[in-house]
Amino acid sequence: MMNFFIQPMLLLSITVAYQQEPLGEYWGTGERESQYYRMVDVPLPEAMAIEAGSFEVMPNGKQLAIATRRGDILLADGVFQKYPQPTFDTFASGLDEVFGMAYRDGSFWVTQQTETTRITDSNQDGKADQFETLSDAWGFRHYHEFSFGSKPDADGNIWVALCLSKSYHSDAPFRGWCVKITPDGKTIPVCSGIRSPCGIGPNEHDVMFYAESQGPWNGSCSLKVLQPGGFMGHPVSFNWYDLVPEMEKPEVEPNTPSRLETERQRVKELVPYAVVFPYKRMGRSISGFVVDRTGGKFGPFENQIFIGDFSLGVVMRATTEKINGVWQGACYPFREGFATGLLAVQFTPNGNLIAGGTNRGWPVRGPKAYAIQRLDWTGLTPFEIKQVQVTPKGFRLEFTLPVNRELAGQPENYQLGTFTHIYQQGYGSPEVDQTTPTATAATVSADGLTVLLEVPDRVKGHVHEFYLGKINSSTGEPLLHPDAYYTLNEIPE
Amino acid sequence: MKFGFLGIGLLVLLWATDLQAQSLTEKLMAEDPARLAEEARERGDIVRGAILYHQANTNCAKCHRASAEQDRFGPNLSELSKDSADLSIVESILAPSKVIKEGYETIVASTLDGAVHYGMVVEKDADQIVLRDQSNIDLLITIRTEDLDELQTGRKSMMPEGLADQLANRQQFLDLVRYVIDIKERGSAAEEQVVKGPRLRRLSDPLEARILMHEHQCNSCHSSASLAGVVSDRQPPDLKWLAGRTHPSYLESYIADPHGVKPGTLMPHTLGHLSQTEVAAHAEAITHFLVGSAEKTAAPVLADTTAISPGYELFQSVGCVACHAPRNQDGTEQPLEDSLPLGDLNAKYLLGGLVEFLEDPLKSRISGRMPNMQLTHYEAVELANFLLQKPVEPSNSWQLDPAKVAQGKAMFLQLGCHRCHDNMIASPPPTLASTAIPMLRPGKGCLQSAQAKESSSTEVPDYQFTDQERDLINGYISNHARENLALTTNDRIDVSLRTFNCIACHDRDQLGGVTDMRNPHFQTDDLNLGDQGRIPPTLTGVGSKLDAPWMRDVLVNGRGIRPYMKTRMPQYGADNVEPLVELFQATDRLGTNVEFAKFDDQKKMRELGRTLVGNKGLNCVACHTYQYKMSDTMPAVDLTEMAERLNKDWFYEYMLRPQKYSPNTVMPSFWPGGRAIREDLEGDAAYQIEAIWQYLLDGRQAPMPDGVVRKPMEIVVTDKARMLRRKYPGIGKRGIGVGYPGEVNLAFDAEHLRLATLWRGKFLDPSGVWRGQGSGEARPMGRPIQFAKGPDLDSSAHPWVDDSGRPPNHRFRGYTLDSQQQPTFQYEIGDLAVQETYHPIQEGDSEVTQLQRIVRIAAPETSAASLRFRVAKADTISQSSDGTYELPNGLKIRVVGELPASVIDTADGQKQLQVTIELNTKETQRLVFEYLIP
Repeated sequence: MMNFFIQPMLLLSITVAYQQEPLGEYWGTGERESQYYRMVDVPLPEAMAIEAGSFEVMPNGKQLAIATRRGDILLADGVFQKYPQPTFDTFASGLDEVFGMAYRDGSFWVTQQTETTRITDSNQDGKADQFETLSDAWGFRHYHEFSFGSKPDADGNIWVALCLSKSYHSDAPFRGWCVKITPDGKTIPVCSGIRSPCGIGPNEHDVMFYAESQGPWNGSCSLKVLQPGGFMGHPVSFNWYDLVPEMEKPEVEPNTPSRLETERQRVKELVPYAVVFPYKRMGRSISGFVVDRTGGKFGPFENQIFIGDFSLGVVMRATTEKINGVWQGACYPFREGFATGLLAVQFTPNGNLIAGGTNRGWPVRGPKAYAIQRLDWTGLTPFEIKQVQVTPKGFRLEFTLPVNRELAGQPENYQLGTFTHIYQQGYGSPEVDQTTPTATAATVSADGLTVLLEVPDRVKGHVHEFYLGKINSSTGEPLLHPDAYYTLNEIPE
Repeated sequence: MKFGFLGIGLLVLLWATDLQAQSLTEKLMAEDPARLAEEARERGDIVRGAILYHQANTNCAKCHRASAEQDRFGPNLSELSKDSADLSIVESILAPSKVIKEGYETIVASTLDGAVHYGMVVEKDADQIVLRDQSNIDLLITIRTEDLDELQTGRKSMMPEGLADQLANRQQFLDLVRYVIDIKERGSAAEEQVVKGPRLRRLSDPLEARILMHEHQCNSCHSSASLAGVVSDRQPPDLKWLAGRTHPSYLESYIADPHGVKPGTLMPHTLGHLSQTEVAAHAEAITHFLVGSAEKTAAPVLADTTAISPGYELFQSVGCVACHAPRNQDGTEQPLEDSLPLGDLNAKYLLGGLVEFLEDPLKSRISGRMPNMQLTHYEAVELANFLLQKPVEPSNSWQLDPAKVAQGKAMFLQLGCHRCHDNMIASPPPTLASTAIPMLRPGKGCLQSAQAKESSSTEVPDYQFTDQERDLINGYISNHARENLALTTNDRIDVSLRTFNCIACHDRDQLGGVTDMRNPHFQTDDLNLGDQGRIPPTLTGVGSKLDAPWMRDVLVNGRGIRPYMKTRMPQYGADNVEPLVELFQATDRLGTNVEFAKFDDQKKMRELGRTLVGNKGLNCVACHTYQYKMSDTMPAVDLTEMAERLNKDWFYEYMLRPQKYSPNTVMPSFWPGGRAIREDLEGDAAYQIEAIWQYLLDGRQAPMPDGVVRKPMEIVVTDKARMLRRKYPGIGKRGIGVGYPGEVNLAFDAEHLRLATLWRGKFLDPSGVWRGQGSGEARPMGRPIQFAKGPDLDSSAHPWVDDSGRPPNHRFRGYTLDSQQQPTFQYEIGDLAVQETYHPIQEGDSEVTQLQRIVRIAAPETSAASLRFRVAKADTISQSSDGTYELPNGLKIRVVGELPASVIDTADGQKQLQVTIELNTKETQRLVFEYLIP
């Protein structure tokens, strides 16, 4: 028993000590990005380590609540000011790695490692005094069993994604599952097959998604839909179906090594990755995400998903759509150069994006032990690929500014590639099965903002990457980021 | 016999007292100096010595500055002749005045008004004598010869007596001597002599002339192929930006008399040919035109007198004084040669306008001559408040007059202002081309002498060139303008460094560097680093030192790695300084071919590197920062950024000869003369250096070397309880630690629902869960008393037998906190509701705090229950005469009141103290226990 336990630990420490793989190249766009989205440091008090794990804007619109890995909930006043010089009050402390927090009906609804808790200041003295355990129905045996909780959905339910015991095991109940906690504390298992979540919340269509990390059964990081009754891809958590008589355990387990597209024909519960984030090019540990509901205050990307990355300290965009009943979509580079590893993002009432986290514990590019920064839109519109959507014959590309019609009208100016990952029990996967489709027609819309691209030889189940280095705006500007990555699970009729 | 024994005791006592009274200097003086010197070589630790050398209490480095400066108090130790015996170093520290190196005697200067100054002569001529003050090395005292009464040469050395007494012990003395020996030896051992003194090199006259003309924007009127191209053209201030941020009254007076209002300005006077009335009318009209063109007005900022003092600090330290004249606290300028003029800022700027300017000077002056000092908004507010202490009230009477705007526009065009200020008039009519520079005639037009000008009343702009400037430009026009001045890469670098005044802070190949008069304004947060901590690094050979992307990051984004240096690396704008990267990289060569050591096993090399960097090797971590964790001596450059910044061959060279590349460095040489001082560690110099490089290549992911000092962590309890939910020893992951005032602490198990641990003393060390990934445990900071697993309260008939799972009928419901932050835990067993509260209590009359536990059990309307409450389980439990139950670990438990407590035998052969409870429907029972924690 002892031996069994020690061996993987040793292995772990060696890989950590000699991990020499570079974290990934910079996009090299930081300086240009800063013309459009300015990064503002939020000064933090020196006396306390504020390792943000979750943010919430208080109803007064003035305070930012910050929940931390060290277990504090802080109320910061002044973060939203043009030149932030906030003051911090401790509302609650002593919690255990808070990765989920919302404020509703006079209480904080918090997800920490051990449980989902409703925290209230019942005597109104500015400090929490009631900590009600709504649910601690999941097992908790290993420190790496992180719990990520959503903000309440329309019915007030908090969705909690429960990390596996280690990448390969599910040693305690519901590790690797998503459970839903109702406002009155009922715990409803949602789906199995999660590996290591690092963010959870609704997509732009208010359907609950989570951010999955690269590892076993996950060739790269991805956004996935938390489909009730679904299976997210990592079969080790199948043992807990026994605890959920009302749910049916998948009849077959996925084969390894295989392809997800193949296995999803065999395992009907298997939910394909909605948006794959190609490893290193688009982050290494995607994390907290939020939908831009600022009504345009944050620039041209209203109703899109903004998602951070822990390893590389970048924020990316994502869009999703449901095709033939299956979620899929694209991701796009957005802003790099954050000072620490990002864990959580949040829009402010003024429509700026707060991003924060820590570089503790894992390799992180950002140099600061912890930081909170704010992205302010400068009011200038960057020339970007606004979104990529699938069409029956190809893709629909939308841009933030009118394109140069001549260049955009030439299909050879669209460089495309596809690939997928090996779907396997082993850790991660290289990109495999590459193809190079050709765009055969490009039709520019009258306003120059949209291009309909015909691509006959698309590959189902593959990530389709777009490189548009040759497309300029009507004023001759190159794209700020010429790349986009569309995960094609289904092709519409 | 008895007496004798006592006598010896007394003697020992006396001797011991005597020893205590004797200073370290005295003790060391009693030893043989030759022996001390020998021992220093053998047993002195060079790294510890280096630290002592620079530490504030000894601070040898303060006076024995590096070779770059000649007039410090102490001789440059690297220039001690090679035959200076180690012996003399020992003697000099212990008895400095015994032999004084010539020129290092204390000078006593008394003046006619009765003042007496002690110090060292820096400069002496017929008119004056300049002394460096003995007690404040950065202070220079100038005494005019006519005020001087007497000048005496003292017989005391400038070096203070008893320096060794600042050291803790003999070993430290040996360490220090060992380091000084190192300085001496590496100084003479260096193959090439360290470059001497900055500011020795001048640019050639044609280059100077070229810069002068380029900065005066001669090429705005006179076409020139030879001026453009090396450095971005100077752009005058953007008047559309400026006009909304300044007082119109200032603009008006400045236009009327630029050289009078702002002496030293580069803008020419263009109204010289007009009468005074005409000048005034022109200036007024143009001002209306400018104000009428203003894009935006300054966001108002309220004056804040509390910001003045921090603003003064910023002005003195961030780098303003590198180029501009220093100022008194009240903002008055203290004129200093070679200062760039600011004019009367109070008269010029609106407070908000100056704030906006300082926040980003490149917005209005895109050519980067005034760089961005990386001030935050609030720093800009402070600095502006300091600079504008006597602000001019905006005039309410000033009204924009459209007629004057139109007039002013016409004059602006007519005077040719738009040739430099080229964004003010959209599509101006073409102007007659002025003579091209190669065709200019020396001494004519703008270049005519002051006398010549007076006699004419031409419309030629007046730059108020000095005679010297005029000569330079005339010379250039006569001799060089026609040929295309061929510039070498180094010329181009020099021109850039001059143009952006990089050389106010940096030197390069003896060009520029910090001048004596500005030296005190270069400050540091950490004196231990010596001059290296405050003087920006040399640019000599910088292209061979820094990796190109890093260099670009420094130049364009102002990236820095020296947090201790108060002077900031400013940002000049990518367009202005980016070309320097390529120039540096193109020209700078290391000069030697470095052969890298060969190795087979990279993993082994990295491990050796880690050892060498750590405190069991060369102890780099004694001074260097590791991943933002500063060493406790000085915050030397972060190890985990080295490989990203530096070129490998330069790193090799620097390791072998630090002071050759960085004359101010604190760093000792670890391979003096190419020989490893740690020969016991594997390999020769190159092999060891390669190992360190391989280790550093991992950057931020490099594993922590031994000896990195980590601040201990502690959750401190003061007047209220503190809490932390984490893993605790002996508890699963659902532990809740609570520390109470009075040094009593507990850990509650929210999974088994039990009191799990008690301890007395400090509360908690959370480092196991707050460091790294958090894989460890929260550690009680006292001797933990553990209780048995499984729930304390359970059915008496069918208690849950402890295993590794969770009790099936128990459910944790949370806790409330009272005003003292003391929790009341809540849980359920089936439909029973349970609450537990713990209070610190004083036990009897004693000062000792103990812990009281109150448990309330409430039955619902529908059911009754037979329960047992397990208080403790142990091998033995004995009841004392005072009624308390005592456990083998020393804990005593008092069962308060008439509860039916009993000690029973358990199935596993232990004793269990328990209380049995019969609970009726709707009934609540209350159990009280007191824990007397040893």
